[in-house]
Formats: sequence, structure tokens, C-alpha cells
Amino acid sequence: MGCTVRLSPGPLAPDAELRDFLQIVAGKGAIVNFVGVARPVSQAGLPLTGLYLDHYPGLTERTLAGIAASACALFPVEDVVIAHRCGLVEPEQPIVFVGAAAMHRRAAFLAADYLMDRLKTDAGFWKREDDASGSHWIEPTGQDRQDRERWSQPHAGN
Amino acid sequence: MAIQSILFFGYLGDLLGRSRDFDMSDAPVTVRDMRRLLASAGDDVAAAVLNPCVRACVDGMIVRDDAPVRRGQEIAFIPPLSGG
Repeated sequence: MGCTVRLSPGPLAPDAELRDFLQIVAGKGAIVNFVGVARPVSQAGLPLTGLYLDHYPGLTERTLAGIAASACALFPVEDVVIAHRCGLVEPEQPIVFVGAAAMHRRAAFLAADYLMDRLKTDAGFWKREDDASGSHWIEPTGQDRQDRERWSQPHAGN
Repeated sequence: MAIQSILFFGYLGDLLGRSRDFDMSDAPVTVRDMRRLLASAGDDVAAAVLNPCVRACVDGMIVRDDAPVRRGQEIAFIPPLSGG
């Protein structure tokens, strides 16, 4: 079983990430992957010119590794990967790739869903939206926090 | 620890600079002492380091206010995480 975490200021290529992951998880029956992309519109409803992800080298990687390790502990998955951008991301560019591989599909779906809900609130980033009105630091939304809370309830994920 | 660089992230980096040097001749013993010592550097710094939502890091780990601080450790202050 393996948890892989990569943080990079360079472009993220989801097709290459998936290809690599499929090689690593050869022999598993179910592979789920998710790609998160920078939305073209800011929270203020203006065209986004850039999304900046500030990070603290060392601390940020540890938060990602912790989230990946929790997914492996909570669900019967064989392998998990998180590949995340940092720095300045242009609109409609991929920010995150998540993959989960298991013998059976339910665990892979649940693990990928869990990974994204945790990443949206607990990953060690500070996000800034740049649009025509200026730059704005943003925090997780109420919906993000609710999504994360799903996993502390009985029958988590339902 | 005479002059110590302190790191700031997120909006705090915009407000105070990504890294700022402080006179820490009166070496703090805990994170709480350090917050009080830094608060004397100016209103903008005081508002940031005394804000309970702003967490302190020692050597890249988020710590509580009663955590010890020693000479030569990397100190940072961080706003609440935005998530990925």
C-alpha cells in the first residue's frame, strides 16, 4: 500500500498523473481519479485573472501526507496519490489531481471523495484570488466545512 | 536570540512582509511570551500576533501557545488555512 504526495509550482498534467498512477496500481480492480481546476470566475463574480496558492514549505507537504495517510487508514484502499499545485495558477488550469485504487470500487470512490473534502479545508495553503477589483485572500466556505463534517458522522460519506 | 527572522504566510505576508527581523534580546520561553514580545513592535504586528485565529509554528509544526521556543528555531505565524 502506498501514499504518494507531490507539491509543485509547475503545471499539473492530469493525463500524465493518471498514466503514472495506473502503472503503480496494476492489478487493482478499481481506480477513481479526480481533477480540480481553477474556476474562471472569482467569488465576487468577476473574471479571475489568477489564483495564488501560498504555502509553507515542509508544513504544507505534511498536511497533504497526513490527509493521504488518513484516507489509507479509513478505507480499504491500496494506493492513494495527491498531486497539488502551489504558486500562481491561471484560470482553467488544473490545481489538484487525486487518485485512489482499491480491489473494489466503493472504497476507491469513498477515499477519493474523502480526500477532496479534507483537502478543501485542511490542506496547508492560503489562497488568493486576483480579479479586476484587486486581490482577495479566501477561506473555506460553509459548504466546504459541511462537506468535511460528513466524515465525522456515523455512516461516514452517506 | 538577539535578532530573529519571523515568517508570515497568506494575508499576513502581504501585511507585514514574508519575513521580518525582530529584536528578541529578551529571549521568549514560550510561544505566548513570544507573541507578547513581538506585539511591542507596532500596531500592525500586534494585531496579527495577538489574534487568536493566527497560529504559531515552531520549526514548521503548528504549536500551542504554551509550547517552548528555543534559540535558533524557525518561527512562523499563519492565518487559518484556506485548503486546496
